[in-house]
Amino acid sequence: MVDVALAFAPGRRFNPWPAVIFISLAVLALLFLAPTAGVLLSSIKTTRDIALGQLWTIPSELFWGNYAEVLANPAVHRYFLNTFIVTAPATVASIALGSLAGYVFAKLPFRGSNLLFLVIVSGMFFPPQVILIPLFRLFNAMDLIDTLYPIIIIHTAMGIPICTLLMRNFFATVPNALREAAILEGANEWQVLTRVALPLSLPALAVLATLQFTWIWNDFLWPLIFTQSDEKRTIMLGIVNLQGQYSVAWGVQGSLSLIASLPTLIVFLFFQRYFIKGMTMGAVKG
Amino acid sequence: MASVSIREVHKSFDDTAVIHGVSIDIEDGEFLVLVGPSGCGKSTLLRMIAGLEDVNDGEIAIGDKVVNHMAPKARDVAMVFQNYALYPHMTVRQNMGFSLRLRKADKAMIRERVDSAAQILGLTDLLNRLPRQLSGGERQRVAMGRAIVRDPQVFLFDEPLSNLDAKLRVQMRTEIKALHQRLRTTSIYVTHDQVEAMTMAERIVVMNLGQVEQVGRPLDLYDRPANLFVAGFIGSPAMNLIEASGTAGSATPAAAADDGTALPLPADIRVGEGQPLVYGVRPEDLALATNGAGVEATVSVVEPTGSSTLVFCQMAGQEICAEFQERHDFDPGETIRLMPRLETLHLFDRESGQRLNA
Repeated sequence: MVDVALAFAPGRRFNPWPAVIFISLAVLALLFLAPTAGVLLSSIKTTRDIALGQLWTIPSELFWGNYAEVLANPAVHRYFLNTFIVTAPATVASIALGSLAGYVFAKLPFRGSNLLFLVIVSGMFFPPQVILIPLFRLFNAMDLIDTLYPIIIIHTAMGIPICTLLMRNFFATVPNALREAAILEGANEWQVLTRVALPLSLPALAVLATLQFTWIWNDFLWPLIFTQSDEKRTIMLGIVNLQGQYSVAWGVQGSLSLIASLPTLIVFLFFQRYFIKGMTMGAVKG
Repeated sequence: MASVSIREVHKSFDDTAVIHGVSIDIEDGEFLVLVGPSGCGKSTLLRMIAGLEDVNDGEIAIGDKVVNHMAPKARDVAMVFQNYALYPHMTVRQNMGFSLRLRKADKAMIRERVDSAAQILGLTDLLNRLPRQLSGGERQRVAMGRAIVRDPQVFLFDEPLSNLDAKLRVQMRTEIKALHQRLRTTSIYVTHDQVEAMTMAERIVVMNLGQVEQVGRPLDLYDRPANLFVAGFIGSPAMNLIEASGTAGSATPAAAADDGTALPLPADIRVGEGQPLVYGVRPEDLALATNGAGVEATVSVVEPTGSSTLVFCQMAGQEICAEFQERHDFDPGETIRLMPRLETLHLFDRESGQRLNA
């Protein structure tokens, strides 16, 4: 807004760019927020209201029945539990493995380590569709179809490249003198990592935890491929499952969609306090 | 405490040799300063003693143990880094106690050792602060406290004062020296600042291009530099070095600068006719001459420092510096006559760079 005000300030040549950028961003923000607003509106309307076709109107009265129905549904509880069973270990494992690899690439380079780093990071560029059928056959052969294990394993593996990339780049900013000081004081590499490097990398860890948690929690594809029974479905599949055979329960789906996005919001709010700069300030003269 | 012995140590990075057979013996409790220009290998040598760099050839012994293949933590040395290397997420107390916590020492003992080190260094009121809440000098003191707490056999200092401002550097210099006099722990101190070396060291090792140029007590190095490099490196302002050659024909030995200016020599020295020399005289060893004695010089710049006056002039075809304790107000372009003190004259062979007079 300040930029916009400046654009029209007297005595200056009119610069249209701040205004153009502001308006473009405002339009984009509206477009992105519209579906969420639509879902929110649907979730507090009765099926009858929705059926009358008034999707974007403000409801005549607030209807909490959809939320009550969703929260009382034992299937929804199971979806939440299943999603949590997948998301928590896969998030922790991918960040832990990525941190270990990132530390080695940043602080203990060896012959060929740069090439290996590139190979690992290039794993990010494989689209899931390419590995979908081989993975299905692999887990089928291992008799793991319709369990949560394949989803945990795949999310862990697919998270390693981004975690390694981010952690390696962050560890590279931790001064080498800190590692050397710790080693002279009697620390081994594990202690340098856990007591010096990782505590300094909280901002990177917080970013990764938020990203990984959100991606895995919101994933639709892998649970769809590897789970079949309703007992093993995750929350994203659950939203789809809530539609009836002959009708679409927009209100119920809307309320579950919003409830399902709450954990990612909570994770974001929890970790955002660590998204701070300057953690390494004061370590070395700079 | 322990002695440190470095014998014929070599070090290369890939194909570049940086240390060429250095041998130094450091006595138990000694404060030794390694000094030299950037890239002379002094920090590499220190890092090899610490175990942060491998030794390619030769031996390093701490006490009576050869430590070439010993892990850094087994060597019982503590290092103070140029950029402090304090753990930014730990308080001063946690920083200082980190090594003891790693050793799983008793909590009461850690507290006691940290408190005692903090008291020595005047850090008691800062123990609960984070490094970023400290000034440069305080951070440097914490870095030293961290070393003291461990009570190591050897202290290693890697240019610890070069990030501080001039005034603080002088203060910390005194503090480190006082600390050493109190603890008498063997200390090896690396610096590129010859003033720091002169003021702090019990013995100085002057290094250049990966080799030791001279080892000795500060004033011995100042009074009798073994070669041209040490002569030019030790002392501020630097020694005047005038290229000259021996002349014959007169009863007393004499030399002439390359432009023909006659330069006086002490009576007891023998130089061959035409022998290429470097005539070295420290700025404070030049006195104003009267009655046509001495060598003619043309004043270019006068710099009064308060305690002395530096006069830069052209003498024997070269820019030289003279330092006078008394105050002079020469004009640029003025001609004066300067007489070198013959008892403290330094003569070097121009080709080998080695000292000629005793």
